[in-house]
Amino acid sequence: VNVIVYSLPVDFSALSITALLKSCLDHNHTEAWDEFIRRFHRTIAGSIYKILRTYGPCDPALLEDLVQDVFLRLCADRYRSLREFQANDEASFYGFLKATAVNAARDHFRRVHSVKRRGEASAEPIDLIRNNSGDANESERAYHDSITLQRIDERLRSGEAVDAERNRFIFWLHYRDGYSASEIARLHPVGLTAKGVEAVLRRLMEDVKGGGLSAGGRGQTSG
Amino acid sequence: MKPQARAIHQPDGCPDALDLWAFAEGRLDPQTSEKVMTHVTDCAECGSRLRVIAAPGEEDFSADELAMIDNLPSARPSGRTALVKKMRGERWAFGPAMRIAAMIAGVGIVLGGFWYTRQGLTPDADKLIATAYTSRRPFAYRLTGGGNPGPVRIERASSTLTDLPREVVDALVALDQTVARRPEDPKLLSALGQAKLLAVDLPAAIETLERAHQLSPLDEGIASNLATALALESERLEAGEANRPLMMRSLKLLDDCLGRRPSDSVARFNRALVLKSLGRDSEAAADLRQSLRDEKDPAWRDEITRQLKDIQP
Repeated sequence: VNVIVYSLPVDFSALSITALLKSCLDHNHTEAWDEFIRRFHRTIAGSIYKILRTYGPCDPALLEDLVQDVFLRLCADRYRSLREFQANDEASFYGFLKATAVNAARDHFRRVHSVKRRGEASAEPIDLIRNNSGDANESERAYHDSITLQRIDERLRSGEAVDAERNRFIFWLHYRDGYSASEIARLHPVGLTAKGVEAVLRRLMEDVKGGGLSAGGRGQTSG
Repeated sequence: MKPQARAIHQPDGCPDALDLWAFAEGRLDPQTSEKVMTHVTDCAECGSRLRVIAAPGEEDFSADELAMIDNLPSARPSGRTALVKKMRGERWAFGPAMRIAAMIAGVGIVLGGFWYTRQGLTPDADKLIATAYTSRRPFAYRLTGGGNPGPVRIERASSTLTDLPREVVDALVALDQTVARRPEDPKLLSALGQAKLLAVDLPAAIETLERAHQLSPLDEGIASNLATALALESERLEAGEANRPLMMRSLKLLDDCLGRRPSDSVARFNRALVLKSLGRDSEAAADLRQSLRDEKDPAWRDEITRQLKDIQP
């Protein structure tokens, strides 16, 4: 039956993720794997790229290495992680791929740091170079920003509201990590809509201002 | 996929990205979710990792960045082909657990094969001899291979293979083939020597048992069988003075055996018969009485009693 089925032309690009995975895992079909790479390459490479760029200019060769590492990780142990994956929806599979890509990038930097600790590399962290080369005013402003944020955090911690921890989480994602309100709302544990997140941020800002503190103008609420 | 029950924190103190993914999708239990939330709130790196995982798409890339990603070798058809080859190859790759299992299985197969080969090369020699001896007892002497004492059917000359009982032929053929593969094994040589004795091919039996005795001079069983072969040959030659040395050597071998192992009832029984042949009946009777005390097998006790009656009616 398989011979008959696969003698017919199959348009793998039209398959759902579940069907494509089945073609890859059950039949190990070359065209299916090619479609798998084609379809998810940008998601994986993009996720790694986002991590790499936080460390400085991205080296395409390193990016390529890590992309290949992720694809092979997915296939390791006879495709165990792919076989164990059960998608509730297609977006979930993209999240899984991104998490795997993030782990690969993180493992890379962990290895690099480990080598540095052993004195086998002389590369200086890009953040350190930036700080050293920055002018005094910028450093001073960053210092004051960090002091202000520290005070805000202390104030958020002292709050007795039931949702204090969640609000603090929202605040930091927005002001430190640059999440938009809609992005924060997509995180299920937050349990709020984009409007709800905006309202929390607005209330937090008013509370902070009422306490005589300033957030330093980093990040913007958007929906 | 349900989150796996694993430690949230990795060696660097941050959660695994797969836990962040489960957190972003609200699939962690409330307690773990709260831990992750607290950690992400305080950890800038996990904050940005979570953002990468939870981001809906690639809309925040510039055109240059997208061009760079899409021009990576693995995004091109030739690069994909090479990568597909590696990925498909993983189907046959063994994980660590499978490697260990394969190693254990491999060792098991090798040892099993070795054992099987040994088994194949070493037929149950004693069983072959005992069966052959029970089917055909051409002399009164006992063999170390065992067997029940049936009526003695004296054969004065070696028979052709077609005249021999099937059990004796089986023993000869099986042991001869095995010895051909392992000619330096004294136990096998001794078994073959006994088979030749049962075929009443005495010169061949002596030659084989002599070789076994040279290889293992302190083996009482081999010495006892050689003593039997020498005694039989001496009797076949109608024991004149010229053949007395054969009988004396047989006696010497049995003396040595009993010196090392006085409870050897086979050697003691055989020595009694040798002594009887030499006309030393009182010593033969003493050995038979001792043999009767040592023997547990009722069939052989009957045989010893019968021999004793022959000497002391």
